[in-house]
Parts: sequence; structure tokens; C-alpha cells
Amino acid sequence: MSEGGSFGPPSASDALRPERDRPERRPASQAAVLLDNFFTAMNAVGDDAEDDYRAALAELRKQADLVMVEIGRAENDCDRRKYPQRWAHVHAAAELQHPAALPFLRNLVLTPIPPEESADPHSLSTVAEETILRTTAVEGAGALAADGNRAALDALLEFLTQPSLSVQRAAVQSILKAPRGRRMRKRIEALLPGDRHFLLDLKAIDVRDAPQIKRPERQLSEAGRRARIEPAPNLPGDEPQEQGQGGPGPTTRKG
Amino acid sequence: MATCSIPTIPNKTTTGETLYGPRICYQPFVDWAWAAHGFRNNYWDDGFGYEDCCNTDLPLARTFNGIWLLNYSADDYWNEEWSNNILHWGRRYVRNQIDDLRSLCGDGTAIASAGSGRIEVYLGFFYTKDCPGRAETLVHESRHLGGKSHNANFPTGSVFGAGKSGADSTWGYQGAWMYGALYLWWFYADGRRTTWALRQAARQRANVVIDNAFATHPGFTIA
Repeated sequence: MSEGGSFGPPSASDALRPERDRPERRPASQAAVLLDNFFTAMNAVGDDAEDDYRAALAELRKQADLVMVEIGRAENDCDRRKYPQRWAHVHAAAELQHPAALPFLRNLVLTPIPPEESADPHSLSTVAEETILRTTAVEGAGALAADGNRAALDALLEFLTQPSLSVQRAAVQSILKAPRGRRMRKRIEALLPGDRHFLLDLKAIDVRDAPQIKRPERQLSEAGRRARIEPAPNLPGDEPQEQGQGGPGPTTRKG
Repeated sequence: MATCSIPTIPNKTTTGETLYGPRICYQPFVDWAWAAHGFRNNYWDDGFGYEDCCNTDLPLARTFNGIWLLNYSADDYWNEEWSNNILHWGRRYVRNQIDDLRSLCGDGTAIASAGSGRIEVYLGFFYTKDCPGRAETLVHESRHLGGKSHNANFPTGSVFGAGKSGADSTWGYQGAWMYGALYLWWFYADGRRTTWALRQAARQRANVVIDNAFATHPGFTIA
């Protein structure tokens, strides 16, 4: 995400073509169906969403061993660049909160992060995306450790030796939340490099306690301050609002 | 003019397309979003979606999804007072800053760039980011349009490239990284009309930004 306006001369816009022949794999095994149901439930909204999510998770847990085989297989089969899809699998494994998930979570965290593939990591960082998968996995192990799973606690201690700051941060936070975790500060310190000891003193806070942006209207450009653009229309069913911003835009009608 | 191909599309349930897609397919919203963010036909046609603006396989609908999330994720979304939090006024900041929003191919991994009232978004924006990630990108780039450049190098061990320029010095600098992370954080903490999973993904992303995008670590993490 760069700034500075190096766009080159005005030109005709680019063109985008559909990819040919994109076969879609359908879930085959029972575990795959359960996992698919879970993905649907975890992305649902509405009054019943929470209940549906809990029900789908309960079904996954009933067959945790098989489901973990499927998660491992499916995550491994994912295009490496499909980070949201891979994350959904890691999230599912973490949400299982079942000992069967630990080998997968541990293996992911301990797998070295591949070298950066992006020419401009400030824009897209593949290392950042891989890191997000691993911090999610660390917290999955953390949930097990919080339940008293000794192997998960050992894994968290092992994660402290990983080079990633975020992995270490997630591991420290998870250990401190585990039973008797607060007593492990010295052990954590011994495993962390000296310049990372500050992780023990990070405050886990609510967003309401974080420093906010005061007077954001002053952080607009001159043109931004002058702009008088109508807010988004109210949602259907909410109080009606005058619509005055229509333009020569696209139409939702087809054909 | 470059020609590119739609990459293999990630599972649309996990990126939020399945959730937000039906919502954006509402003519008053399309009309408003189009005008408010300076979309121009010739940068969104020719495969980018102008002719099929509800099709979430295509960049335009996926951009609309990010804009919808940005505009309706506060419980009282119509309250966009500057004295409120960024979940409320982020949408106002973004639409006030963007004069011109263009889609282009990019190099395949590029996400976005900003300058002179214009934001360009590339294939990585449409097909690598989930819906909250697209909203975050618009907030981040709009902060650049607001006149705040990055002012530091990434710290040792940063996932964004240790020692390279592009970081913000501190959280208190109130730069683009802070804006983006704070938006995601609020979305995680208080986002509405969305899912638990997308909020969790936003939390993970915000924490990684907090850890890696500031020369001096802010000293906190998301509970």
C-alpha cells in the first residue's frame, strides 16, 4: 500500500479475463461434509447463527479425529495463496478445542514461514499472511492449554523458540492465560531472546482502552474537508432517507 | 493497457462474499457507492464487473462488498459523528478522501496504492483480501490521501520486511497502519451484521499489524 502518486500517464483501463476450466472439488467424505457445514455455519448471520454455529461445531467434535484428517488434507490441498480459505481450516481446527487438533496446530506453527513472495511486502506480505495462520494455530493450542492439556502447554513453550515475533506474542499470551501460567514468567524469559522479553509486559486490552484518533476530521486533506458527500442509504427496513446520489453507475438488473 | 486473468477464486463463504454479495445487489446502494467513491466506468468495465455488478466473482462486486462492510458494520451505522469511534466514522473518512477509485491488474500480488485523491486497487485486493481486509485497505489508503505518509522503517523481525521503509514510527503517529489496525480492532470488538469468523480473522490481522508495522511496538495486544 504505497502512497505518493506514481501512476504514470493516463491510459485506457486494464482488462480482466475469466480463467478457463476451473473445476470445483465437491466434498466427498462424511468429515468433508461436516467441515463444509461448519464453514457455512461459521459464516452465517441472523438470530439462529450462534446456535447453528454451536451445533455444527458439536457435530465436528463428535468426529474430531476424522475431521482433523480432513482439515489437514484440505488445508494442504489449498492453493497456498488462498489465505482466507486456509485460515478457515486453521480456525476450524482451533475451534475444535480437541486434543486431536494439537498435532496439526503444532505442525503448522513449527513449519518455517516460506520466504516473502511479494515484491512489495508493504502492499501484500505473504509472510504476514502465513503468520496470521500460525497465530491462529497458537491460540488454538492455547485454548487446549487453558483446559489443562499438558501437551498443549508444552507446545506453547516450544513455540517461543520460533523466530516470528507474532507467534511468540501469541504464545506468551496463551501461556499466561493457562492454569498457573503466571508462574511461568521466568521460564518464558529463558526461552525468549533478550530483545523479546517485552512481550511479557504487553497489555492485552479492549479496543475501548486503546489510544483512539482524536478529531479525525482534522486529519482529512483540504479536499476531503470540503467534500460534502451524502452518507450511505439506510438499509431496507430502516428509516427511509432521501436518495440523491444516483449517477451513471452500473445496474443490478441483468440483461 | 494490461490484460490479466481472474485467479482461482477463494471459497466465497470464507471471504465474506456469500454474506455480503446479496446485500450489495441493491440499486440504491450501488448508485450511492458508485457516486460517493468516484468510480468511473472505464476503469471498471472490460471484465472488472461494470456490466455485472452483483457478480461476486468480479472485482466491482467484491469492492462493493468491502464498502458495504465499511458502511454498515456499526450497530447505529447512521451515526458517523467524528466524536464516535472509527467503526462509525471510518466510512465518512474514506468517502471524503477518495475522489477516484480505479481497478487495475497490478502485478498479481499488489493490493493498492494512493495519491492525489485517487486510489488504485489491484488483483490482490479483490482476490487475496477478505471483505474486512478490503475495508481496512480503503481506510489505510485514505489515510495516505489525508496527508500522512509512512515515516519509519519496519522493525527487526517485521513480517513486512525488517529495515525497509513503509512503517509508522509509533501508534501515536496516527498513520495509515494505526487507522487500518484500529478499524479492524473495532470491527472485531463491535462489528454487526457480520459473522464471528470474519471478526476473528480481523482480530488476527490487526494483532499482526500491531506487532509488525510500527518501529516502536505500541505495548499492547488485542485481548
